[in-house]
Amino acid sequence: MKRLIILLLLSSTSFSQILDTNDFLILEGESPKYFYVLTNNGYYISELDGKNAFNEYSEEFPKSLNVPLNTLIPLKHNFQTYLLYPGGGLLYSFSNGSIKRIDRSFPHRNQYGAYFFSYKENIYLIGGYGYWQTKSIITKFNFNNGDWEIVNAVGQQPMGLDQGTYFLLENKLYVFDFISREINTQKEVRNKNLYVLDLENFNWKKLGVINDEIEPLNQVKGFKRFFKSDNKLIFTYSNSPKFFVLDIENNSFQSFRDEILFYKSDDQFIVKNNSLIGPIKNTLTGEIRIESFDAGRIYDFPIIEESYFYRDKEEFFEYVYFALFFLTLLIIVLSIYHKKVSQTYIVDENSISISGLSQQLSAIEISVLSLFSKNRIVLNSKLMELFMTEGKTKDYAVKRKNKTLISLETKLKKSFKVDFIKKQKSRGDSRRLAYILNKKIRLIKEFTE
Amino acid sequence: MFALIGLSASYYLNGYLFNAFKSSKMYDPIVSRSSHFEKATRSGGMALFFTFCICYGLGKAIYSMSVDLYALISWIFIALTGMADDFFSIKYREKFFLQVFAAIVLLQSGIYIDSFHGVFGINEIPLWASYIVSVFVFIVIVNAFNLIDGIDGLAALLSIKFFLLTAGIVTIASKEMYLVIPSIVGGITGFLFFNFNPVKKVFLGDTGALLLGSVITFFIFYILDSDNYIIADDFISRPFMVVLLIIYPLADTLRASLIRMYKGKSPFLADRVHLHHRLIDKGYNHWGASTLILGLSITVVMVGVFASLLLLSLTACSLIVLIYLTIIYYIFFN
Repeated sequence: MKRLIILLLLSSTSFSQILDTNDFLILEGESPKYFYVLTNNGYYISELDGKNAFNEYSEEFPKSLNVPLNTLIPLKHNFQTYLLYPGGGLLYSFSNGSIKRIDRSFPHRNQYGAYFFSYKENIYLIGGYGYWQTKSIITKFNFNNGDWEIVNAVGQQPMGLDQGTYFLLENKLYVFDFISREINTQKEVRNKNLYVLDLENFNWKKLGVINDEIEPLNQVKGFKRFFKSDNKLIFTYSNSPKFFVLDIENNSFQSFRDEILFYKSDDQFIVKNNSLIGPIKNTLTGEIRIESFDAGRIYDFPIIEESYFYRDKEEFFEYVYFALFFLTLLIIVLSIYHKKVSQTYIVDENSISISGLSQQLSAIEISVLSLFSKNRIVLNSKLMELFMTEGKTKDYAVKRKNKTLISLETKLKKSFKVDFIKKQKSRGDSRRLAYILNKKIRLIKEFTE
Repeated sequence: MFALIGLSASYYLNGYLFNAFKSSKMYDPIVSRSSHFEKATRSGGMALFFTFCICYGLGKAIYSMSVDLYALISWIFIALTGMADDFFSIKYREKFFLQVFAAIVLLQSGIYIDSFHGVFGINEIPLWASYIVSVFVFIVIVNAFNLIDGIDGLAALLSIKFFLLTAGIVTIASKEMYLVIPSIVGGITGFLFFNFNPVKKVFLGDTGALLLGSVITFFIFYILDSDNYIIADDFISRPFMVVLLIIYPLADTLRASLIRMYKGKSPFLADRVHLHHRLIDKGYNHWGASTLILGLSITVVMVGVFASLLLLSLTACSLIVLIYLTIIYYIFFN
């Protein structure tokens, strides 16, 4: 009740009409001044100022019309109202107070949940579900022979278009948030791409992936309602206290908080003179009222989300710039890392090597380098231990050491073009001699165990 | 986030597998063609494969990441082929037939080259021709990436470049697949820290090179499949873009094969006639050669895209790129 009161306060017109049936159908009507509400017993001509008149049908319903009125799909085309039988095939017109069948077809039962629309001089039915398959076919009604014809489409056609959200803008029909079912498993897959059909040449094009941060398309929801207003698409879901406004030309999407307008209301809506007209059911009394709401005030609701709708070129170039940035960053990080490890030499049993370069060494040379792999500074006395031989003089050992070090340094310099070992006085005791490994070089001993 | 998960998993797995291989003394043999003298393991591909498995599992569970089942089977099959080659060194002919089989499995995903997109004036091609062309392209690309894996970091860096530049296209076109790319890029980055590490040196091996080649081929098929929406269609031809993205592996493989045939040798013979070997022989170290080739291949992409943005015809664009490649060759590789 609170919801209803707020709605009434928000309503810009004083229009309110009580219905005594659940089976009704709201039609736009030929004139901007009034609309129709069809019931099984008769129909209302309801004016926007609140007046309404009940009339009986001038003719009985056609026998083929054996389904509830609210399952028919209405369409206004060239100032004429058409009613489509669920699943396609049978087509009726409503004029002069009577419903007449105008097709020479049969109940197709092939396009339940399809979108019924008019473009130029034709009316079309697109997508739907039937015979255990989701369809992406387009059928066109031939007014001359009263039959439906399949329209051949080309391009990136989606495989199955059930329960989609459609937006007709000029010669483009945009489609998104539809379901495709796998033929074998009947598993429902909600498509997350935006497609557009050019109605001049029936060429399909996939425009891109819908922004995955947009909440409604990530949710399981009830039935949805969508209508065009001021070149924008307004759509809502029955189990979501929000409505959404899509501006496809500017690729922008807005989400509004709404707990009174569309939320938990019926799926029938028409837009008339910038007013939304639809039924509101009082959950306490069960009473159904047709109410109107000024669509111009729809933006008075608080915006809770605003973003781009689908990823297009702007996002693409953002990714490209990011990719180049990331690649540059990666090269810098790897360069720093490489610089750090590039002077790491591996010493094994008979050689010293670095990426792509190797130098064979004698056993004593390997032993010398092994000392430097443990300590960067090696005292002369420690080094001499390698050269001291029993029965030989110390002088001989010194000569051998010097010769070995010169030979080693020459080999390494020639192979790797870097100075390896330098001789200098020990920092602790100037009388002692020490050998120091070039501080840029790191030696790793990798002997086979 | 998936790049970080991939990086962390890959870093850990590369270290772990290196130690495991080391303890079993499973080092890459050093032969006359080798460009390295350190003890290195061929565990990088395996680490990359496991990294992708971890990322895919997480992505599937949390973010509805999804790749066609047949594509996954094909990747797994090609990775196993690579592992068999790394461990047992299978014959080239056997490897070739296993690759053809993997290509046929990949075609079952429904993603293949079904159009030439105007190249040679040809657009849509019959199904049988699609299959033949796709299998041929698969074999060429997978082996091209295997052949350029001759020096440290080259195949990995060029793969990263491919994935990063393709990421924009895939992200726009497929919500289910775009997480694959950060996972793989993270995985390769983690591997690179070991590939350049002289102490714990890890190679991609056939497992990694073939796996990367097959994943890259899948994305190339994705771009060339006319059923898929490619946002770059407005300013660049799809086949031209694909060639630009993998210009180095293609050019190098073509050049090496032509030289071998000219010398009367088998075009599949393993030798040191590759462009990257030429850089090494000129005195570049592995890092220098790999980054130079990476940088040059990015400039080739830029030249090609720039020519396309100038609304030049495909022939004119190809000619400009060819001239640019010739200049590069004479400056850096001659």
